[in-house]
Amino acid sequence: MNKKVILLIEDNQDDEMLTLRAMKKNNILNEVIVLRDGEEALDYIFAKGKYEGRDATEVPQVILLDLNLPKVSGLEILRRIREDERTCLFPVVVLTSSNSEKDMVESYKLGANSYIRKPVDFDQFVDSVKQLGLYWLVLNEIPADTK
Amino acid sequence: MTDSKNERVKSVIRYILFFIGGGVFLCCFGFIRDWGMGYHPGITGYIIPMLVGGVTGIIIGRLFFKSRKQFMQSGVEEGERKQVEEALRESEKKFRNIIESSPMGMHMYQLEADGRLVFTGANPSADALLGVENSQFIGKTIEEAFPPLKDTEVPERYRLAAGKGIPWETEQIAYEDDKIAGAFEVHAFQTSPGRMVTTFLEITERKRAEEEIKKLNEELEQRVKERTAQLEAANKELKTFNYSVSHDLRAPLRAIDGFSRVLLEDYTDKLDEEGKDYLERVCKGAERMSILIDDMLKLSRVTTYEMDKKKVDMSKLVGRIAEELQALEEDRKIEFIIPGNIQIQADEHLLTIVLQNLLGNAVKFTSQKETARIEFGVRDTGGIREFFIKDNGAGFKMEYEDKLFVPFQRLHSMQEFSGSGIGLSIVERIILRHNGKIRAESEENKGATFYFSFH
Repeated sequence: MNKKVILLIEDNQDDEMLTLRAMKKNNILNEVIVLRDGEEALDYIFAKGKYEGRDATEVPQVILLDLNLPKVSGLEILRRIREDERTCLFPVVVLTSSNSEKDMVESYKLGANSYIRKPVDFDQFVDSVKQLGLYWLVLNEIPADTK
Repeated sequence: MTDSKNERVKSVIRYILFFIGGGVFLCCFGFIRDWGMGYHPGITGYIIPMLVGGVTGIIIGRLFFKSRKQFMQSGVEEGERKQVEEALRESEKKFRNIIESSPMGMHMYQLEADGRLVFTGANPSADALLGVENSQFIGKTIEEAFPPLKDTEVPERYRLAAGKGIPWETEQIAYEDDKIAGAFEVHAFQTSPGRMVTTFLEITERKRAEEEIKKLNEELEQRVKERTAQLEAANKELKTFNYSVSHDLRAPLRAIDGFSRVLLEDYTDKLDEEGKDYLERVCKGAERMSILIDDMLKLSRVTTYEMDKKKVDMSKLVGRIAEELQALEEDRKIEFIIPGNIQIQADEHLLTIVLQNLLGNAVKFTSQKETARIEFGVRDTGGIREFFIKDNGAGFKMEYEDKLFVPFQRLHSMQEFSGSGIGLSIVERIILRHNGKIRAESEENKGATFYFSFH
């Protein structure tokens, strides 16, 4: 079975490292593509810039999206994903430090599938990743490539 | 009626008297003449003189009487006329005095048949108030006397007053360099058809005071606007600050905690017990800081939250929270006393936070008692509606009362009772936002009672 890709859009290298470690601990073996700023993320998703030539209709298993990104914000990326026909069905989980109600509402309004706050406690974080993995990678179903 | 009858009786008696008088006179006259001449005609000879004398008597008597009456009448009339004249003069003097001594300036006008409105007089106050000798205008039309008024509505209004009896009042204000030089309250009204009076009262001081008040009010409005803008700006800054705090301070904490754990996990064999202990403390420190950040945020959110006051059934709210708390402490016996139907005007969300904190504390601090007893109620203290939440728990020493509501100040160790010490600060801030008061009474080991009120 084709193991789908996980997109991790995260600028904080500490968080990146911890997230990857948490995934490994939970036996999540999908390929994780890390995109470190908003611009890079858009380039990848829409197959532009240095990612030109990529198949943009390839559906990732899940996109883990942080909101506070340099250059283009997480919410803006979310909007663009939802606006484009090729990408509007991609599952997007907002994974962020912010516990602002406004951010959560905005995210859902723009079409996020889920909103998760990163806990400070690492054990809890690992547990969150495990649950994310169980749900989005095992339980949740996504459409086949949107050709 | 009786009077004229009286009159008639009187005149009849008069005529009889004249008749008798005249008759007797002529008879006597005849008698004496005859006797003088030795003539004795007898009684019948005197009948004709009697009649003639009588009639003459009546005629003469009547003439005499009438002229005397007229004389008396004219005397009376003269007297009456004099009286009336006197009364009129008195009255005129009285009213003239009023006009002459009135502090209100008065101008009198008369509307001529050809439509000209002619100035007929003024009182001394008019001279004083306007600084002119108004007598020079008598006989002139209003336009001639006061040219500046020509193009205003004044002459027309005066004409309407004089001619149609339509009164008019207005304020005339003269400015000099942006300040009030003089102000008059003017009334124009008809005194008799075709005649009118305008009165003008000096109100300069009053007008100046009014302007002053208006200016002060505007300044005040301005200051309030500025102050509100400042407060709004401060609030906005606070909200932004909150946002960064919640977001930016957490990330490094996660790294601190996370990598400490990683160390503990991956380098277990390379660390001795002490090493492991230190790393544990690092982790706990990060966690603690996270809780503190959360609490600070809660406290400042209470300040920036936009209140929406409405009627809330406090009894029901307390009941619901009590149920939730009891559900979390399944193995404990907690007795709640909640009288029903206590209503209050407050923001429901903030009120819930207050009650959750106070009731939560009550539950927490009674955890070491066999049976916890928590009572909610309301009482009247000197006209103020005071709510209270009373528990039979650990209580505290009253000498530490002033530390109760300070953020992060605790009166017990973490081992005795958990908690960060922010709950009561949040409660106090919410109560203050409702313009209320909160206080506590307690004795160590004898429970505590928190009294609070809203306005």
